[in-house]
Amino acid sequence: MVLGAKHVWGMEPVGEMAPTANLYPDIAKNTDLLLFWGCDPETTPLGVVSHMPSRLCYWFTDLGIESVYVCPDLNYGAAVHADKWIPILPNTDAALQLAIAYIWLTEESCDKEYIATHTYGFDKFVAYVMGEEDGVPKTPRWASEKCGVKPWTIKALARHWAKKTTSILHGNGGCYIRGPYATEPARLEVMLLGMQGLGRPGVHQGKMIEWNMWVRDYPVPFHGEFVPKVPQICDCLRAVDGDLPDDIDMRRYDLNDYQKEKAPELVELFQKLPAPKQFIPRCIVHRAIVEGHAEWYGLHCFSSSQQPDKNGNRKPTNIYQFDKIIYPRPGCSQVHMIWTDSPCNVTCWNNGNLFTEAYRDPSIETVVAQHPWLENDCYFADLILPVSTKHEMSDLCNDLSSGVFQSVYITEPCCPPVGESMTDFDVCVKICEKLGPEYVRAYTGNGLTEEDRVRFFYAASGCQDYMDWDEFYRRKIFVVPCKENAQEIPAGLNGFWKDPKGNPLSTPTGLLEYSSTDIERYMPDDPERPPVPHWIEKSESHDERLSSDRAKKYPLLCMSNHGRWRMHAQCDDIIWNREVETMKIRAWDGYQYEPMWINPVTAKERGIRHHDIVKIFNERGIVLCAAYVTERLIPGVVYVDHGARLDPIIPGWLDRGGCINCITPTSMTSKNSTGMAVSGFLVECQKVTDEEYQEWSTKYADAWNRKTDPNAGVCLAGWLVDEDMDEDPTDGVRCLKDKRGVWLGSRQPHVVGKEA
Amino acid sequence: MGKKVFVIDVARCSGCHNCQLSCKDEHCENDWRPYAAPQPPTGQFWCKVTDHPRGQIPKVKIHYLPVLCNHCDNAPCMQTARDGAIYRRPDGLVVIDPAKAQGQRELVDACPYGAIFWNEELALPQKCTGCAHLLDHGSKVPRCVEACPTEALKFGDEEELAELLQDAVVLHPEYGTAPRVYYRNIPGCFLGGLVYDPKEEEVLIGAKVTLTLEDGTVQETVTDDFGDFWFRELPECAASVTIEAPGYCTRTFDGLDTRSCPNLGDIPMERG
Repeated sequence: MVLGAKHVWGMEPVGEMAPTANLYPDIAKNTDLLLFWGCDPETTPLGVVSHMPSRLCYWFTDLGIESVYVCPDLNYGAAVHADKWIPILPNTDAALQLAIAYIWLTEESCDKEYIATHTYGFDKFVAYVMGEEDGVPKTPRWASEKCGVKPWTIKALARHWAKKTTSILHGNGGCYIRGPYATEPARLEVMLLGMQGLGRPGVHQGKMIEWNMWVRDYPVPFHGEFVPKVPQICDCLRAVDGDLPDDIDMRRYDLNDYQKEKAPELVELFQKLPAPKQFIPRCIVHRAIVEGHAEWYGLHCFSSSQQPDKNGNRKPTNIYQFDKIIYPRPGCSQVHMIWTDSPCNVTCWNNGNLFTEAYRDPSIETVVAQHPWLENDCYFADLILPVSTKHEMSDLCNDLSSGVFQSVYITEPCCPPVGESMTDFDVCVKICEKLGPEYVRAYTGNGLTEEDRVRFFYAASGCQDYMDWDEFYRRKIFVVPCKENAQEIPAGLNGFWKDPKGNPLSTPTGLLEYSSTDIERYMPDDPERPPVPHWIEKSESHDERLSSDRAKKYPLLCMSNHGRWRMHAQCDDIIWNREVETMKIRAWDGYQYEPMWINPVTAKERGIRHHDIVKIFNERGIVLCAAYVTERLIPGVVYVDHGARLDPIIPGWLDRGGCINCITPTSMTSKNSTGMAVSGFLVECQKVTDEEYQEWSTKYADAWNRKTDPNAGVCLAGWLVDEDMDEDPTDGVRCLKDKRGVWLGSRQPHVVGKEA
Repeated sequence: MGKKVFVIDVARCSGCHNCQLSCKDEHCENDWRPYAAPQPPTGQFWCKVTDHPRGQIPKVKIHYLPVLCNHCDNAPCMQTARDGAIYRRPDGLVVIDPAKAQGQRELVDACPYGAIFWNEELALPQKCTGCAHLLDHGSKVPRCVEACPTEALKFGDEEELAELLQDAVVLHPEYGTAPRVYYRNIPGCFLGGLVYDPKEEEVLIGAKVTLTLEDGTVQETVTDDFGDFWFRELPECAASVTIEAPGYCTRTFDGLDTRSCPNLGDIPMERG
């Protein structure tokens, strides 16, 4: 989600370009140059969609379209698809973008006619770029010091881009929009596209995953006749009553009239229960607990709760970003208890070590976690309710986003729920039973079973008009027929390009806003997100640039991407993936560490060699990894993917599992912009000395020697204690056995087919 | 029955590892005797994706080589095996008999490609079977080929794939084992650089770059819009590069070795 860009071009709910119908055929026909800006089509789609995006990239190359990758690492997409890789320091894209604008303005190589008719505030943007506002012209030389791209390469890129019909591609934005001040590069990107006639054939912003997330249309030509509307209940995404006006239709998760007619059995299940009385954005929950209060601007709820109108449009919600919200609200309590499902705050969010502190804060009387596995945040729970996985339940699933034919399908249990586990839904039903029968009735929609929900959700999806339930149950899948005239739909912002007055954007002016009218009106003096996007060196919220005083102690920038071999915090334990060097490195001590990429020059400066155990640290704590020394990363940077499972040696301070998010910045994207900042921050990195290793492994022996599975990593056996534990003869560590007599967490062959 | 071959198009391998993982899915802890005993949960790689990064930042290229048993026509493992412990099927696949091969640890070293692994628990050498158990029960291709999302991996009759074999090579032909796994588009060495004027802070576009190889052959190119030049598909040898641009002093780089895929970096040119 190229968040922040909403202030330039609207694009509810999250600032990504829409419509996207027919985008890739249009790109195939008309685009000369694709800029993969912090985009990895090989990695990000896996686990979310499919291999289709990478296959498309081979096709683009076959068509003669040039692929240039702008990113700190030669990512897995760049490794096989890039015609050119431009390494850049993490989270410094705004400098490069401003310098490109500088070249286009001074060389008059942008689309002046388009700018005159399609933009607002361009003169204010020019004043900033040319240095009239602050005395600093945003020249390539100025930018080069900030972003690490040489001035001559910046100029060459600017001119090549201006010459060629160019589109920019993303996954969902990745760490390009998850760093300090990420609203600024998000906006600048759209502005640059605008300066080259955004919306004309071949000039788009495209994304390579979750193609139906916010829009009905598909960027490839085989999109379906209709988009199945499988109902979802998502009460937690509702705004507090009265926070938003009634005409913002936040009813995406309600049943529409068609659904009520086709599946009346669901009406009670979808009845509106009381809205929460207050909320805290996830990225400041830890501070709110530890400090006892919080205030922020905007984010009343997840904006995707808004129901699009029949043309697929949503009302703009930008002005609600300027509402100040506080916690605790008058008349509301502070947080006393945490109840969390599948939590991963320590390893996927900002400052996981502070979250650990929050879980253990004296104000928190109880932490209840529900999750299939004992891992990550669950270590800090007082009560853990075991949850079964998707493979142990019936469900109605859809594949609407992956770039293959759209479908709805049934999954049935592969096995019964393991042990005492039950589904998340049933856990809540059990709790309702303790609260009273009226809660059970309300929660279950008057007693619907899991199978009932599958049956009736199918009826409500619209697919039943094409394939009745019996046939669907027999076949297990319904594939949506293709829309016949899909290839005739105009691509992207083609309508806006042709006729901006007739096809206005959802900004207040209807135009691309190079100075945001909403920010001008409501927060003109926001130094971290001004009306015209700026390069921000440091501020109240963040001090993570190489120019910082902190850089004397922490002179490297840390980048964190989405993991290639896992899905956020899931699937970190897959033993076959962990045999791949870029997923885990088995160091000299036999432990499988999370890899930390580092350039040979940066490694040599520190005496670090390939596969050395290293510590990455700043004021927030220490994370252990193993070095992956590679030419695939710009010098001065270390890179660790998010989502490795926590292996706390000193909880809240020293982690051995490679959870880089334990030490990511505390603050949000910026003071008034609620987002996560988890990449592009200062650290130092050193080889773990023999003395350090000795000290940690003896002083914290219990934690250091917790039983881990040699192939799967942290495991249950390392965390259960009982008087009846014996020593496992293979490694002498005390742990429990299960009913089969197998040491818990270890693996013994379970042979299918013939008996061994 | 025609004899089977694998054909792997390296230009289409994206390094996803689906082949490696699907092979594990089929064989780890699954008993397909008489074709194959279970593969242990980790440690063996009947199909392994090897990655080959070359060059220096930012002119770094990667190619991937999925490697597996080559099902050689002249298999040294078959020659070393006792009591018919390894046999060749009519379709050309070479299979270790999990009963007869018991205890024959020497078979691991018999394979120069390292395709045979020792299963300590079962005291058995093991390797890729070409998923013979699946082929004999209706599958057209082994799991690795089926799982490949880019069609980089192909498997089929030698005659049907004859056209693809024309420009294909085998790994280590010098071993003389006559592999039946073929590779297309394995990239050769490369060399590159970027030419610029440090005073103007501008790349030089259209500069002439001449590459002279050890054997005297000469290639020429011109720098592109980024000031970049590349020479690709080079043999392993010594080389030298000369850069000329009107108004600038000519520069020469001698003593280069294409094996390291050298990036000459950002090359400053002096006016003169």
